Amino acid sequence: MKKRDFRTAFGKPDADFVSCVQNTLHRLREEERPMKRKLSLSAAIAVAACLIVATAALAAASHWGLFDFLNQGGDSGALPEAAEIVATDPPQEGGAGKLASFRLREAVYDGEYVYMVVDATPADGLLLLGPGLLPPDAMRNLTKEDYDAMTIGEYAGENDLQMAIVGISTAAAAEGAEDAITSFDWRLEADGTLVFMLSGEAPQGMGDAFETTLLCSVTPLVPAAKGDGITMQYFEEDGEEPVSKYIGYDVDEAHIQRSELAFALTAAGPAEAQAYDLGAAYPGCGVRVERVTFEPSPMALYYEIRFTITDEAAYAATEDGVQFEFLDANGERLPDGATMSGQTAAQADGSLVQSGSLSAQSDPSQIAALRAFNCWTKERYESHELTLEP
Amino acid sequence: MTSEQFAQEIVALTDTLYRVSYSILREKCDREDAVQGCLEKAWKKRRALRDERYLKTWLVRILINECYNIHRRRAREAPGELPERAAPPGADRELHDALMRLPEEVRTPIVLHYMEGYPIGEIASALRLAQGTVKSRMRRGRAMLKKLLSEEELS
Repeated sequence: MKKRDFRTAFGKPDADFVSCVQNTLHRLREEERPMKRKLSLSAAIAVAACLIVATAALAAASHWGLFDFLNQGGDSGALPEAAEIVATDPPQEGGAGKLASFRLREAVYDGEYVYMVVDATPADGLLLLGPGLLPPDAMRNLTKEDYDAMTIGEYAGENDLQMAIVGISTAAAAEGAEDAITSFDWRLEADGTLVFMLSGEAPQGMGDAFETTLLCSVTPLVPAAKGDGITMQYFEEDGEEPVSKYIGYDVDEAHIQRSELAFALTAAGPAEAQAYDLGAAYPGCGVRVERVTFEPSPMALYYEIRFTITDEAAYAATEDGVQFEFLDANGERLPDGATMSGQTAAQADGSLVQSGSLSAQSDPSQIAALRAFNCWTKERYESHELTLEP
Repeated sequence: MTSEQFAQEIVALTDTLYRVSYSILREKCDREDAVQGCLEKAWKKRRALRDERYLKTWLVRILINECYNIHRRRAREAPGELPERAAPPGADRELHDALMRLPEEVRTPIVLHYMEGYPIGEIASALRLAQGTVKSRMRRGRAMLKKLLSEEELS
């Protein structure tokens, strides 16, 4: 009997197909990159001079804060009074270590979402890498500056620094519970501090106190012999097959640092939720919106849209792509808020809930309609005028 | 998963994306359109993927939807008999030709199972079919392939 390798039936992807994948990914990454902040030459010189003369305390003061992260892709829509509910250096325990120390510098818990800025300060001679980054990755992945063309490994070599990868997770997630961190960002500051921005929806039942323990790890990398250590897979230019390459480094298992950073945050003036029963049918996508709930905060206007499937066939045709958007009286979509919008989760009772946020500058009274659309095809379904009466 | 990691995972799945799109779409430009559309949707929705283990299944499901959309459009534009596809360079021509003679609804489950190693449950989920339907299509496909390849059984 002749055995056949089915994977050879269609041959290998042609060069155009491989380029199409690579070019599409490249374009998507470029489109997502935050706008480079423009700086005049004189301003750049002034900034450089400041950096040279700055003391450690001043350097720490210049680290990115919560709103620097939130506003990097455009105005997050937080209200000016949001600055007043930022807890600076809240009470905390732990975070120390030989390789790096971790400190919660800024935090906001508004009863719905938690936003945290954590500084990871390295020991002398160490370069901290964000989770998942490796020496061949571009330095701009750490600094967020487009002009940083050198790789992380080159930068470490030039500055005689040992590299170490930082990981942060919650103790609750490690035990399999709902993770409060759903968004993760970081930036390497000029003094070597790796600043993390962590945010996410507080798990149900947290109430007015958000208590958590962050598990912080620092994994040092050591040079590896040729053909040993960590490998990475990538495509070379015009290459048709992925190439595996040893990066010349291995994990120094014996010296991994594991620290815990525990803290509790008190909800800053949580506002009353405003719920509106709608019963609005969207036959085009086979659903009915039962209820819309808003929870205003200086950070964002959080919302939940609860809907049920009324026509299985029509809903299946949407390929789970049903989403809703709030429109103003001119038919314009209200701007999104500080958190990720449009996430839909199935509920135990069979209903679905889309949660997200609008700009905190929005007000439920500005909402004139709720429109359903398909996030895949952009097809618009019905739009319902809203009379938001609690 | 960071954007960089997500991109690297997708690059490592290039062969799978090619084989799945090849199974459904005959035109090279359509396959490229499908994979481009698939990646744009996956990129936008990547944060909704809670468990990285299901990245491949999730991505292939999006790609199949893209391929079917294009396939339906093409069928409307150019209905009728289409000439046979020539095997691309480096392909097992005999197996390629046999697979291409199978109806598409039979070929895709066979490709997902034998080329990509998908279990029946995942194929059913990716194609939005009942598991029983997938099993019967695969039985039918195996019988047709056996006949076409004049072999006693498939490996």
